[in-house]
Amino acid sequence: MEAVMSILTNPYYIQVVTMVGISLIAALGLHLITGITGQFSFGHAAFVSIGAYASALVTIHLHLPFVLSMLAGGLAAALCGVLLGFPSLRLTGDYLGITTLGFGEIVRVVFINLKITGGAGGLAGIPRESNIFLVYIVVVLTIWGMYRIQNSRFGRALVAIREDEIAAETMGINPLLYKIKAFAIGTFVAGVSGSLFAHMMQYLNPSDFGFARSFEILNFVVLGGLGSIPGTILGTAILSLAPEFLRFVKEYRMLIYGALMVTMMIFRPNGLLGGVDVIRVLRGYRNRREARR
Amino acid sequence: MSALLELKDITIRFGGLVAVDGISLEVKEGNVVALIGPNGAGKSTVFNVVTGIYTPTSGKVLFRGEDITKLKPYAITDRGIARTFQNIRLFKNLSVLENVKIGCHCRGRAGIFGALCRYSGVRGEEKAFVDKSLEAMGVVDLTGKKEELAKNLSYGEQRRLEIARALASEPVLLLLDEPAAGMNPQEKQTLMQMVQRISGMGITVFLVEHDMKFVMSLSDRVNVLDYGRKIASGTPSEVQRDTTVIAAYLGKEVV
Amino acid sequence: MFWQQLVNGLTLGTTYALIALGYTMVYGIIQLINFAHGEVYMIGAFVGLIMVAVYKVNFFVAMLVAMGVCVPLAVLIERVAYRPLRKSTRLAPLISALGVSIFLQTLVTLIKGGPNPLAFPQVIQDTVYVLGPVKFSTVQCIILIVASLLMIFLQFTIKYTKMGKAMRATSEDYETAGLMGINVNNVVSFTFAVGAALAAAGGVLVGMYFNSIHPFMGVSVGLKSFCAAVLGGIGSIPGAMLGGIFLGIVEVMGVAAGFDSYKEAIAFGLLILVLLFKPTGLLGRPIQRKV
Repeated sequence: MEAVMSILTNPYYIQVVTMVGISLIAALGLHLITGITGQFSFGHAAFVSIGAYASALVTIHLHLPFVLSMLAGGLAAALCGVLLGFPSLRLTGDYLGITTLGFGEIVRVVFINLKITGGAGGLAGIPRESNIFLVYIVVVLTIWGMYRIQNSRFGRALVAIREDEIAAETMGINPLLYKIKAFAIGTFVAGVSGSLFAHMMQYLNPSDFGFARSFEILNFVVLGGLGSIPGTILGTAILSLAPEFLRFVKEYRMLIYGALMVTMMIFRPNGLLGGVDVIRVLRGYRNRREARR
Repeated sequence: MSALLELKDITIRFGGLVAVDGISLEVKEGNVVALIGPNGAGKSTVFNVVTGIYTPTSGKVLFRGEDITKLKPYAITDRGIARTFQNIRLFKNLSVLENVKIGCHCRGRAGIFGALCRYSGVRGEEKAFVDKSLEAMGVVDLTGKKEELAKNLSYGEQRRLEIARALASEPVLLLLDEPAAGMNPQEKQTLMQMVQRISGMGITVFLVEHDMKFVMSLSDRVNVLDYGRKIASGTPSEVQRDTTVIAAYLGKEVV
Repeated sequence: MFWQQLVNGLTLGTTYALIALGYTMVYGIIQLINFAHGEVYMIGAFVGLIMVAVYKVNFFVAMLVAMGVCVPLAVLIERVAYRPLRKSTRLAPLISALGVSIFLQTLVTLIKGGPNPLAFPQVIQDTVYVLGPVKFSTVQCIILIVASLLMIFLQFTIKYTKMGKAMRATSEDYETAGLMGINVNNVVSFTFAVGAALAAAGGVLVGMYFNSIHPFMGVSVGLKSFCAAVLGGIGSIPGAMLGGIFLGIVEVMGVAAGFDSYKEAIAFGLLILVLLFKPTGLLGRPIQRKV
């Protein structure tokens, strides 16, 4: 019992679990963009960073309550998302991917050069406002919101665009408009995740939000099972915790991580939960159990 | 009866190729109108022009007197034109019911806010969508398959699902692009009854089809295309007697 | 001044072009962004360094050995990490490629014993030639000549050999090429091999030009070269050459114009700008909406 308590109160573990939550929020945003709407975004970390910096600056300079600066972070990211989305969401597939990747790198370089964000040295002195409870409240809210979106007229339109854009258009859906809306929500969520990150770490550095981080978030979404919320949760949990569990292999850690990515894709190309409708499976289980009674 | 849809001197070029060359035709309200012609005659291109997927190089498309030539496909659907595709374009990984519910899209209003809050108006709209979808599925006998994934349906069922999805958008004019392609005689027979049922609901039907028996027994009027030009139009019996049509289909030597 | 920068940009650009060719050829055939391509280039540079520094061989021999190592490596990567995923969703091979990329970076870091850069030994007597307003160094001449020769050789292979014809057919229509009796797997392997050979040569040339190589050098150059490929029109070989050279010149000019601190963003800014006006790149074929 005491051992369990000591693990539960160990600040390092709490930090790790909180970071999983923060990553999950960002991943859920990308889940909406890539998993549901089918639009490639290889620059998601940039929106996390925009949210992080914006909210941190709002907190530092305007002393607003954290909830408001969190909102500000989300809105700043969504604004940039829409500004990028308007011209670029006409592009398809890999062209959109590379454009978002480029945008991500540009944002990083801009943050390195801006004075107000502390440049390459980073931005320090952000008050610690977020904690594990707040993070997981936002996690639950985001999951709830994503489920609601998926089962709505709006969400169906997004899925229709993913499945067949031309057919969707002849069903009366304006693809560009809906893609931009999906992008706005997805980047808003990324921005919120960033503000939680900023007020957790109390320090921001542009190098934390490079394209490597963008691809890490993409990994969370794809490895768990593209288009599936349980998949995104599972993918994020496994991949964020993997480096922790792989600590014992020391310098071979990233070697194994890379090899793991390849093998996981080869054996489950649609992700761990890809093609598994968890709700259907659960419902089927309940039905079978009731049938047995 | 006035013309519901009117094409005025439509020409469309892809690079150097003239796919459709100065076609004018009318679809009268309440009719079943067919567009026939050999492969590559430009039939599907005409459909793509009507539904806004292609913008014609010149010419005009009028729907209920309104110029819809430059409108986007979604705006055209909104005005009451729905279509199916020659090479089936379903949302393959979604269930039959979900496919048809997406067809209801342009008749709904709920947005992001509605999705999150699900106030009573949104719940009502969702329920109306389900009812309307089931009704549309009833027209093409797919009600029993509503939870099936679209990709798991048989070919004929997929074609019918496309029709149900189009019907869910409450069209005034329904465009069917080769609805009977790949169907066996029995399936074609059922499909014919379904088209009659749809026509009986007051929906104008405009179809492209290769099966002459299908076309001739269903249509009020037939338009014939060859090499991108309209070579004949009239009632089925008029068209069947037309020498240019026979030449186009059987070759000039026969005539 | 302008002419000098143009020559510098051209030199940098040809190295981008060499690497961009690998991206564009692979994309043309299997529509995969081969993110591990930058790592092949990095390994090429390291092999070249080892040959020159440890075995004291001639620079050109070192380049050939680097090619000899990178070609089987790239073929192996394709065989292990991409081929099983050829029929799956677009993102699966992409993630797999990223996995390979992380794996190789770490592997080289481990073998080398740390991520810090190594100096590339000065193997070529660097003389400076003056031609009107422009100064050429020997290294620059070598880069321009070697890269041009390789590209001419590539054009020849693709235009006039049987394998080249098979490559063009496969990139036109993968399925149909298979049905016409082309062994598509061989074509894909060959494409990876050619791309790797060019990247390895590029790695050695760049190592010599900038005098410094490190395990993560493939990341930024790889991304920029990919940008160059997209810029020129991905899938198009002349496009990759044009895109690479264009990017190199713009980057050098940008730095000369005082945007030094934005150097890493120039490529992407240029790319986004071009894509907005020409969505398939400078020499890319327009996308037809097929219904």
